[in-house]
Amino acid sequence: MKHYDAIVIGGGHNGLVHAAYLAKAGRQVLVLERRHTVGGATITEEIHPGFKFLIGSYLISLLRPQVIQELELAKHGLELLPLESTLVPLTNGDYLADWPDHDMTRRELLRHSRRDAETYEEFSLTMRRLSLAMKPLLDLFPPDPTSLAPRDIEQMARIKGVLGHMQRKDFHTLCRLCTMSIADFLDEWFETQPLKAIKCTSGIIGTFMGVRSPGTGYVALHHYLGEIDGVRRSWAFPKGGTGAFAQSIANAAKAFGAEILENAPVHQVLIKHGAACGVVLEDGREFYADRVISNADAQRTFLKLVPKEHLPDDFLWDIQRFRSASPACKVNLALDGLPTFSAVPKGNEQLLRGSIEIAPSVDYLEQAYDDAKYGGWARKPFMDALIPSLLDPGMAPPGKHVMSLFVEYASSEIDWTPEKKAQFLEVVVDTLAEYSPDLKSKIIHKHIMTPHDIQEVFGITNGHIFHGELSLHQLLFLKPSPQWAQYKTPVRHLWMCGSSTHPGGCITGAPGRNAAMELLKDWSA
Amino acid sequence: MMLRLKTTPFHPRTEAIMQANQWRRWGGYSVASAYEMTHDREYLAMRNACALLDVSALYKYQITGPDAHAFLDRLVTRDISQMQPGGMAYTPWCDSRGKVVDDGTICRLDEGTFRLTAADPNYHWLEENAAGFEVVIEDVSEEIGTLALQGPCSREVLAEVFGDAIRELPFYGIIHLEDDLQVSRTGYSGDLGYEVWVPKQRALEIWDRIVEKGRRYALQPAGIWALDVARIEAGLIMLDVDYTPANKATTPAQASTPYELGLGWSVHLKKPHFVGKKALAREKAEGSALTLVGLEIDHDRLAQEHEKIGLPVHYPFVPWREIVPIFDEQQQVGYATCGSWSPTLKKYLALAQVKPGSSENLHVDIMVDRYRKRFDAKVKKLPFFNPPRKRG
Amino acid sequence: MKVLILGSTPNAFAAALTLADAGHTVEIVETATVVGAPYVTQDGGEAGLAYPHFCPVLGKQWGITLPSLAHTGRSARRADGSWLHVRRSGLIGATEHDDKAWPHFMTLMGQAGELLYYLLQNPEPPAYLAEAWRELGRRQSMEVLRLPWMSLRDLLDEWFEDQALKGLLAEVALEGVAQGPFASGTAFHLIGRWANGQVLSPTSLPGGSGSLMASLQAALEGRPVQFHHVPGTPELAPDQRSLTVGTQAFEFDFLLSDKDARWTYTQLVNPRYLETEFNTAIRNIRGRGVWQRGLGRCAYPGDWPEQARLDLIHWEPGLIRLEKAWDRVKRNLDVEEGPLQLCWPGLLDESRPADLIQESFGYGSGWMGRGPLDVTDRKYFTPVDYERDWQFTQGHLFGGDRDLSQSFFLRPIADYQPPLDNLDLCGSSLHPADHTGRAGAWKAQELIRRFSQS
Repeated sequence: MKHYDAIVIGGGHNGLVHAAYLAKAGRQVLVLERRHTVGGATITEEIHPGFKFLIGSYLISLLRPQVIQELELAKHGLELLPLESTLVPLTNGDYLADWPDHDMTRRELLRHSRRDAETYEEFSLTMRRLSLAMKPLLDLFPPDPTSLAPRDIEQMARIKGVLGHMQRKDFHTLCRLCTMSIADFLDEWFETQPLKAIKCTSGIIGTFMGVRSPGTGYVALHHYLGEIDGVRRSWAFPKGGTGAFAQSIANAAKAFGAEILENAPVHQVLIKHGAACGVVLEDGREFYADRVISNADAQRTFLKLVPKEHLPDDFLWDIQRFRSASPACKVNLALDGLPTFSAVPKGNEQLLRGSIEIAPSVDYLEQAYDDAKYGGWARKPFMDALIPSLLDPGMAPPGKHVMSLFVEYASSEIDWTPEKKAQFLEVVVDTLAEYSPDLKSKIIHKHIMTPHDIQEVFGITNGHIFHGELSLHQLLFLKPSPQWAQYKTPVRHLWMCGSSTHPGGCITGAPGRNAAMELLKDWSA
Repeated sequence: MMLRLKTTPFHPRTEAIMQANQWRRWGGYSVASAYEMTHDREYLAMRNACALLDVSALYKYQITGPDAHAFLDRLVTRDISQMQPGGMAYTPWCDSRGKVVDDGTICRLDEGTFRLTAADPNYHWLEENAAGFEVVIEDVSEEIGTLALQGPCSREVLAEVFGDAIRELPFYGIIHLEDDLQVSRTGYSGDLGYEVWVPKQRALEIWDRIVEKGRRYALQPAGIWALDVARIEAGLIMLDVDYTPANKATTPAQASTPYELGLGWSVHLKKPHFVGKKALAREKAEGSALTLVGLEIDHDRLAQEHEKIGLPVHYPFVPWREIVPIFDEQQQVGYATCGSWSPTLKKYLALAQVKPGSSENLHVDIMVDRYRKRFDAKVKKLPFFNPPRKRG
Repeated sequence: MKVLILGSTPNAFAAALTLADAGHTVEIVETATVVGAPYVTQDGGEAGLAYPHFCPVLGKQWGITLPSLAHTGRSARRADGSWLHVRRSGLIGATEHDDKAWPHFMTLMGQAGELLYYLLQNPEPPAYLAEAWRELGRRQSMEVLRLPWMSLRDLLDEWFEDQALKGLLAEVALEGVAQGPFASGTAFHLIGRWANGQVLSPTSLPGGSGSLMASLQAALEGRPVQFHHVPGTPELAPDQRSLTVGTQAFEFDFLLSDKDARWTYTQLVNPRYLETEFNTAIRNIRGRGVWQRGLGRCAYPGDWPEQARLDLIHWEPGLIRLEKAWDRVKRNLDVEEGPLQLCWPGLLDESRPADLIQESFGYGSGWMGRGPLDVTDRKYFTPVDYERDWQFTQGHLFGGDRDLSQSFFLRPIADYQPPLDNLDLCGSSLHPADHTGRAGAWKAQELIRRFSQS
């Protein structure tokens, strides 16, 4: 049997990125994917014939540009189509739009508030400065603040340098933003409800916190760390869906020599003399390697794949208490034609090419959270909608469309029976139909991924899209465990490269890349 | 309905005379860079006859209420506490760090009504400053069209349009005419000139009347290029070109103080509290990081260098707006922000920010055909051009 | 130098005594209708805060040593009528799991509380803080670092299973705090309360908290400090050299405002004399009162356990219940059944009536007038009273929320520099955001240094 240098458990985007970097460095790498195709939650699936559904992630922004450059993703098929606008339809028939042009956005905002039209620019500038300062942290491994090891001290100094270069004022704003709720923070800037709401949504994406919960400020900042071609805070749709993006990394990994095995669900990590030495699949096949790297979330890795006896008690407790209750669902609709939104005036249909946010007010968002936080779902959910077929006609048959909806909140703690699933899907469609009266008549097929489905299909614990909450006590050197935050684990030769590790969720490629850098350094040492 | 750039109240007229489709974006409006193929005639009219400019894109705010005067006096660096109705003043205003937020004019239309013009939107900043004052701030930018008539004949033309009252108007004075419009003796050309403030409904009528009466004075509608040449000659700074407004600066070093922009004369530290006073007093005592200078670039040698390689000299007739490093003998001492050939002075002029105490003899790199060459740039007193008729 | 101090919390007295001891002339003026807020005792009951904690170091300096009367602990009455007693020595009536976890939890909170106490005891983080933190060892130091960012729910769910215990601890942490236990950063409030002993052994004074104010008043005797109580609206002269209240004028070289930052820089000083960004920051200070007090007469019920007589009693506490109460308060709706705490101070302190019941209502007034007991002779004190009678902005007793975004170097605003030359704050708007007298004494010491330099 072939002996590999490294086995990566899970062909999600971070696993693929990780494998590609290892392969690029000349290592023999095998990626084992549970499903019939790689991508994990970064996937496009033809659930209904002719319609390509984004059943997991749907947009790209935080992807580190280094990953695109170093893995030559453009050569391997990555094409990004930038999203130009954001539309917030309101129930009163009005709307608020964020246009791709400064003057247009300003004029749009002027319809709602003169003050906001002006503070908007200052706000964007402030957020840009903060994200500029924070961004280097994405590419650093998180230092251990209790350690006196040279590399930790050096890394701490680097972080201090990053923050030290900030303007004093910005540093203070950063401290406040990270410890405030996004709604409180925005109250200081804006008065228009839909504007506040749309800006609030960055603070709650994938996060089981309300817009008025402190900690959401940080999550908002996390979403501001993105860039497309140096344009900060912009989102793009990968042509062919996020699945095509995953394919491009897989192609890159293969081109560098990595092997990818699909339909290969891992049953357990094999551990000999306290060191990981391979894996055994559910079908009994065994694979051996010097290093095993898990792209699965921390809880799945350590509560399912690694036998308990190999893990220290306090580490196990850290993993058990790692917060991963999830509020996010994914809905896809196959549509017979383009739905109309009553709020969008004739001639402004270009706004449908951007993202469409069902987030009319801060209270609406907070109510959605309140409905769900005791283990239920939002009676009026927040939705981030996208009609990918407008950007990439290949996503649906000619004349037809697909609509992708990111929906919050519906608790992972619900017992998601088929009836409950169907009920919540109705809630989603009904809510959306309030803004688009002809929507229902155009639905050919509808499909929902509840947190439970995300768990079952992608194997993510509780279906948390970020592999665990992005709350402040689970960041940096506390992610996923206070003592094991540098991609290493208590099991020798077993590493982590998924979103449970720094810097966390979203399509960033950063955990995969950072882990590869650390692993390669460790290997050569 | 597609969102397009806004147009000014004069657009039907300006669009009709536009020959070369040379529109540009200014404050969200579409305005003319030049109406004719080149802006030569437009510029020459401004210096020798009169040029009519549509400057409606300026932001205009009306401030009323019992505290309006005190509010504005606290807002700006200049002491305007003595301003009487009919008075007008140019001033910058700063944030608490003493960095310039914007610059513009303030006029007192009557006892309790003031109007402030600005290059950038300032409504939010004004509102922030209104804490503790009883004032009403109104954005009247879109209600009022503004025409600038600049040049030696402008007084005659306006006197024919509006009557002899114009002749009495002092430099930086403003008068009400025909109930709902005002004429002020102000402008951005550093020459004799006026600005006409009209309600947008009457914009076209006023344009037509001025153009009609101006015909025999060779009045010429002019675009921004012509104005830009004139303002560089006059040593007048421009927001976003010569300085970055405080609220748009990414780093503190990007923002400028009035002292750095040559506006020290407009900072009255003796008046009671105003925004940025503490910081400006400190800067006054400790010195500034930069200072505004006029540069005269050695155009003779520029011509020679071109001749050497068999080319005619290439002067910048359309002003350039970019950051260009300025050197002394050893190192960079500052940067130029804009420059232009002055057809009136026959000199190559530039505005620059340099370290105080730098030599009078500086250097700048300019492209001669495909290669970079270093040329002398001498520091000159601003304004480069200052005709007596401006104030006379 | 002649220093005028506006306000009469312990911080005002601490500032006055510090300045007087350095030879400066001090006048204290209180313009609110009530003196000594938030420590106001009426007929033996507390109208405001009940557990004064004056800095012992300062107290010693001025001969203010007060005998303390500690509650035996806290109790929770569960909805099913069963009781839980929380003691330093352990839990009574808890589940086995929680019993086992409790000592470890106490250790962790004790460690975190101690570190926080170092921060609160000093104007700047002391050098030994890092050392003390490292001494906890790798695992424990990380645990402590993780705490302040957590939500109470996350923290308490990790440790305990009993809703009553979790609810009780969360209620203690969130007393007067405008946040629910599900929000990140709320665990920080629990550490804060732990640091000053309020969780396990809340300590009151004989005769009520008003006796602290009386002894502070007494300490003024023989010192060059005059105390005036002139209810009214203080007006600062435009030259900022004198303060007029009604017909009385007070001259000063320096004015220290013990009132909160928002009040000082909007009501006392006209914002037009201040920098614009400063005004904006002051306006953005968050802090609204979400806590009210009730006093009345009701004997300790005979069928309640003896063990709880000298406790603070939490009525059917629970995390969910607390969060649900917050759900309403954040929308400015009144709360039907918010957190409710009861105690009988007279059972602890013979100088007070034995049937005096002292209640506190978190978040809303829903319990008022219809609590679980038959209380007569009721009196209520709400944020509205605190704002009107005590001159506390929005009725917040500490001059603004004390969450992470408004603590330490972010308090009262980020990068606070007194904007006027001869006026500054000296109250709980400043770090350490309490009524221990530290903020006042530190500010006075800073002034004394400044005066001696000029």
